[in-house]
Amino acid sequence: MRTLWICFAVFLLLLPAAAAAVDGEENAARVTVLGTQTDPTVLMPGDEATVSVTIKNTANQSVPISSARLYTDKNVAVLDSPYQTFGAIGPGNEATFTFRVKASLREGIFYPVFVLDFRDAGSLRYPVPVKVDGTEPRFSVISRPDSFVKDKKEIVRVSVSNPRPGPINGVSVVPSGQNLEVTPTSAFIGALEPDQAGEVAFNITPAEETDLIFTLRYRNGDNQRSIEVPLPIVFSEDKKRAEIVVSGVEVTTEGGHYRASGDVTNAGLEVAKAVVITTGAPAMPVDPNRVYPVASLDPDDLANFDVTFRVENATEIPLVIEYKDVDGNTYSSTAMIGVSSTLPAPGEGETTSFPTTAVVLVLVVAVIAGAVIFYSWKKAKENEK
Amino acid sequence: MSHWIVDLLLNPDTFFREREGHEAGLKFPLLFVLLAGLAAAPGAYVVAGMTGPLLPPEAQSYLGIVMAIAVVAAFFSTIIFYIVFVIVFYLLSLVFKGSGDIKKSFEAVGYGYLPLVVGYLLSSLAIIYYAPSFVFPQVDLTTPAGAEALNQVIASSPMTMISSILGILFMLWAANIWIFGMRYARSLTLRNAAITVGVPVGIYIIFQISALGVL
Repeated sequence: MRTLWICFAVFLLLLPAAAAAVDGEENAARVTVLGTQTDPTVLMPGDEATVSVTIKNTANQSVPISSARLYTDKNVAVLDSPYQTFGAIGPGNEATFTFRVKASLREGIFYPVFVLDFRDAGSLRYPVPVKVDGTEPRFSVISRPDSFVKDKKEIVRVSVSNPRPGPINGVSVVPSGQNLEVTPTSAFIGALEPDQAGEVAFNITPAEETDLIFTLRYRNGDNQRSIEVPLPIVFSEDKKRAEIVVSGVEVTTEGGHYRASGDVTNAGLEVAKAVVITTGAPAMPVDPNRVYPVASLDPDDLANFDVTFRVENATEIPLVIEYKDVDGNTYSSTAMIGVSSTLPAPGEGETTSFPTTAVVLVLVVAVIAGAVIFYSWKKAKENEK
Repeated sequence: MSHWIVDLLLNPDTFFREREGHEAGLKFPLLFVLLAGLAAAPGAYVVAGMTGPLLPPEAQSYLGIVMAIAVVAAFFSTIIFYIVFVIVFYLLSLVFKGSGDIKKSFEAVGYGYLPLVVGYLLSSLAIIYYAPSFVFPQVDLTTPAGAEALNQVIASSPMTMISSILGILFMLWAANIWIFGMRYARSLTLRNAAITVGVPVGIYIIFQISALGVL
């Protein structure tokens, strides 16, 4: 009988605790995960990111929570665990737990587990999806000159596109290289949403053959990344540059010097500016036309030139043509012209050689005139007598 | 007709002696002068046409006018020279106390133009014949050096040389006629008539030769 009373007393003592335990389980079951978020949304291998888990208490009573943890997966390492202790979440309230993680070098979708421990119940386990994609932004040269020429400014256009499933930020392109001038020194594109592209142009003036390095810098979340793309700069003949052709050259002598005149034509595809023509050694330019400025020659344009010079013991002399391109780069070309076909200086007697018929005519006339004069004077003398 | 022309050309002393007492007749003398002017015109026309390429492009349309002016100038310069020669001979004959109507001087000098008709005609033919082979230098005529170079080329060309030498030879023939013509027109001695005609004609010939660059 006494044993019966003892058992009844223990039952009375345990009854509230059991009732409380049943209430805790029910309330904990009403805590749900509303959603998860990673920043950046898609990681690259080795990226650090933040994983946020949002929960909501849908019960009518507050639910005490011991801790919230995110457990390291083999491909996603959790770097911190700031929610070792946590109070309670009130009825209808939401709470967000944020963890820093680091992706491994593998690609794929990984599921580190989020565990919410309740004080009066068990725990809530929720695998959080973390996507890792190694696709990098695409960098492409969309326009460049057919050929680079020393000290000639050329335009290079580049494009940056984002084939990743997530956005990238702070996109900029920085060109660099030895012995070359680049303007602008860098170009900022900004944010690129998935499947978007940005385009920038640079003025490149190389002083020597080198590698032009384009550095593409961008951020994936808080992760600063960069890609280097080389563009070899090799000098070759400019296929479009102005090409001055000399034609119709006539060389004459006058007043102790030579005069060369003719036409110059721009047979190239670009304008030749400040075209100046003179003569080179062994010829010595003299006044009035030591140097002959032709001004500007558009493609297929033609202009006359007229230069004066002195030269001795030469059958050919160089005609020096200098011109500039639109960037002010100076070019020079040489055309040889013959001076053997010139008119001889007076006294050399080349063109003063008399045709035979003319000499005969003059002699006949001279003889007739002489004879007539002689005869008329003879007659006059006879008349005097 | 031919007889007096032959006398005029070969025996001018007899020709003018016979006309000494007669009234001056200017019909034939003036005809010879006009024919000489006409004979000189074709040469001038051709030379003017040759200068076309030297004219600036904007003046090319005036080439016809230039050639017409050259023809007229050649014709009238012959007449002017005729008058100048008569006046110069007349004035010089005054130094030797020459006497006689100036019309007789015009007649005598006009007759002397007969050889010049042939001379100018041959000069014109020489110019027409040799002109196509003459090449003008490509020079800037606006510069003194260019003009000098052009002059040198023209003076040293066969065309100019032949034309000038023929002109000088026929001028000597004409001067021979003028000497006898002025002798009787101004009642001069043969020596004084030779000086009267020889000095101006000599100067004229020297000028012609120097123009050729020989002197």
